[in-house]
Amino acid sequence: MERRTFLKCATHGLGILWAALVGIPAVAFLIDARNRPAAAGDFRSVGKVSDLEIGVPKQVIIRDVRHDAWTLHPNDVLGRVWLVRRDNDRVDAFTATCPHLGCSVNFEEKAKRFICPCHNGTFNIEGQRVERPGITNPAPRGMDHLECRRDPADPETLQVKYQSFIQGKDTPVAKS
Amino acid sequence: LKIKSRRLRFYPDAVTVRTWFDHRTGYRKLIDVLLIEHIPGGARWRYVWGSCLAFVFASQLITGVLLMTAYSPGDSTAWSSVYFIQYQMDFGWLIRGLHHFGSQMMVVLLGIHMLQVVIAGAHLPPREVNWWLGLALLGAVLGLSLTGYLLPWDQKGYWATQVATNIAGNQPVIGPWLQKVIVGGPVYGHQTLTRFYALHVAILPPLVIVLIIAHLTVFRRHGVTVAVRLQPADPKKDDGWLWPDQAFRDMVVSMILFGILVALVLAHHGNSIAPRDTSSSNQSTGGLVSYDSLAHAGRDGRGADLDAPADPSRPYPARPEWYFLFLFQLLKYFEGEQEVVGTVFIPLGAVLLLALLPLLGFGPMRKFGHAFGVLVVMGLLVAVATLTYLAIAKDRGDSEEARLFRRELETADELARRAVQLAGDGIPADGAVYLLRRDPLTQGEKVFRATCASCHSYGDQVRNEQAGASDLADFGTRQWITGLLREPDNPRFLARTKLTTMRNWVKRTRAKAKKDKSEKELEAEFDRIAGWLSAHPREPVPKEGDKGSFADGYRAFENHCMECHAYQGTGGGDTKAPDCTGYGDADWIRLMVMGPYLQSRYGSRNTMPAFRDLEGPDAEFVRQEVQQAKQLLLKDSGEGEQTEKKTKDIEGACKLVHLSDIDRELVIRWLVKDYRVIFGGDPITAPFKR
Repeated sequence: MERRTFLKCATHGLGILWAALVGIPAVAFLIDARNRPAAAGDFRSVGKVSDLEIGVPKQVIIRDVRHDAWTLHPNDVLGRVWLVRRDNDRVDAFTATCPHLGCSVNFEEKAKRFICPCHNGTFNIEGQRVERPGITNPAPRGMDHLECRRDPADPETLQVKYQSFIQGKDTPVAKS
Repeated sequence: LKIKSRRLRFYPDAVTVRTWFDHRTGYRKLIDVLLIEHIPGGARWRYVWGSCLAFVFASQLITGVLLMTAYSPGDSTAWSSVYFIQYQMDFGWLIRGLHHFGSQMMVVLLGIHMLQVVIAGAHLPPREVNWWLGLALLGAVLGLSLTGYLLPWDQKGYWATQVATNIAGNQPVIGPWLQKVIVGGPVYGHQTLTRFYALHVAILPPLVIVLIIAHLTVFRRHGVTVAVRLQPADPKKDDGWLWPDQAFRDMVVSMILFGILVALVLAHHGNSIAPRDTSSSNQSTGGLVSYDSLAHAGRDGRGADLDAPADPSRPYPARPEWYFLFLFQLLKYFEGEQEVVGTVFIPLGAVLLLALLPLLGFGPMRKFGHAFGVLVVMGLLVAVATLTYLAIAKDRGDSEEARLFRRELETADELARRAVQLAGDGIPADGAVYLLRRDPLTQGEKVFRATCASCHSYGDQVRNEQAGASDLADFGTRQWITGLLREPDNPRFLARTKLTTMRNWVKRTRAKAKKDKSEKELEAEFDRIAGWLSAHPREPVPKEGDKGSFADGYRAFENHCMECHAYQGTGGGDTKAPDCTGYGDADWIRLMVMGPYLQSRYGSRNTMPAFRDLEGPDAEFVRQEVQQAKQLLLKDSGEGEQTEKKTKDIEGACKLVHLSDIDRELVIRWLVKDYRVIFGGDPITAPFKR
């Protein structure tokens, strides 16, 4: 091999070696967030069943331990939940996060429906997506159901297992 | 012809991506400008230093931008984010380590480059402007080092940089004003970090880039300075070119430097998260290195050091980074008003002298100028090295001061290790400084000494020969309870307390067993009680016929103790002996600390003050509550001959002493050996151990 060619190849080779030695760890560092899974929620108390009127949705907040990179919040707000009491026994819980693009869904007292103020995602009191005349409903699915139960130690207290779901899908898929 | 010219315009002849792109952008011309440089006399290894500096600086830019994606400047977040980079993020230890040691390497290379330039006489006319540009680069790089040192917001950087900014504050006339502007307020805080961060990432690096471009452009104008003996006889022959002759040499030396950097990063400079386990590391060297162990090698202490979080309330033996030690040492020779000589006049004088060097290269002075330049730069480097050596030797020496310095440094290192360990469970939102301030292991004993040690001992760790109350080392453990049931008259337990009923009962029971020759049975019974109580029982009273081990222990307790002691609302007489539900656990101790006069603790027989937070919003409520408890106890004690004494006892039983909620939890956790950080806010709690 000619000297010049050798020098060129060696210089390029060393450069590539260095780029790999720095580049691979750099990429691993940049995509490190993949190591931080969504918190696996547990049942948390949200209030008394007797505080809920049948057929009238009530918004409550869920508190839990929250990790944010290095910070640990021992008792922080994880999210908001709509509770709808159907009858004496049954209570439905929906996350207040819109399944479209994640805005916060409000309840419209008069029309008895949930409406997202961002892009008009509309849901009936059962949480199912409904059409409104003349307005497109961009929500791909109904409001996301959360698991809801009575506290085993105190049946008067309601507990909800909070979860976040991926937006924009036809069916609810929990974030991992 | 028309078609041909169209073809030429849109489709270069041999269509490859390269030719197409060059046709559209002309990038090859740029590369040619960069690479085609004539080196008279040929490529030389001695010419590599400038390129090496550029290489390390490029590496600093890359690692710096990577660190920016994870660093969070702010009083309460800076340390935590650096901790997260160093110990949690994949290869964070490597990126940070390369950046940390890269900055030191730049300083070293600057010294070498400078020396090599004066030896070659490359600072002399016509290259004097480039020498000045180089000096400006030196200043900018040192500025980068200084600002970067503070960013982790650890004790080391915090206190070392205090010195630097205070020097700025000591300058005549504008000093105090200047210091306030740099620091972003009267004392260090959020804005100190945002300012230093802005300087470090947004102002100084672009300045360095501009200066490098100028430095290179001016360099190209006059070319390398070829030593006389290397000048080719025929300038047309024996020439070298930047590409690839010199570039190869530059690359080889740069890679050697990179290897040194990696070796420095791989050495153990930091604190490992867990004590290094030699047995497991022996195993891991045998097998393949896993991705996880490589990505998180910071946890084994690899990479740059991270000191404990900056804490203005905690002293630190501050020293600047090693390449500023000479300035630190220089300061020692000047006192009071003369200090400005060491902080300003001498450093400025040295810079001025350096700046004037090229001017000695005109005309007949050139030869002298050259020699003088070498002498000055060598002299300065020797002076810097000597001062640095003196500073290091002093700290490593045998003097009282040096020993104190090393002791302080050791304490600081221990705290750094502790902080890093605690951070793994999560850092309070208030900031990493609270990791140590609310660490039961290091703070609990302090609170115990200040608050409890006037009456209690804690083994040999906190010894109080006059202790009127029991020794709380291992309180509530099986061993402690067994000891109490064996020798209640030992000063470790009840000897110096007023709790005669319990003492007498133990002695009576043992004497009776001795008489009945049932000592062994009694010992077994006591052992069952100790075992059961030391598990801090809180379960409901077991049902009749329950044969479980819990029920077994409960029966022993029921048989011997429940005449006086209650458990879950049953048992207990009117002897005012403490309730044993959860005996010795954190909740039990909390009630004892906050309300020892309660019926479930020692009632009117209590002699310990109630320790409550009397500086908070509910102080008045606490006072009234205790007052009412006192009235109740007085009422219960009834009328009789001893009323006056009893009243006095009850007054004593309901004394109040201030102890903040945090301090109380610190001492409780320290007592029960639960060393998790106490998180502020509401509620005062921390998550369960992972």
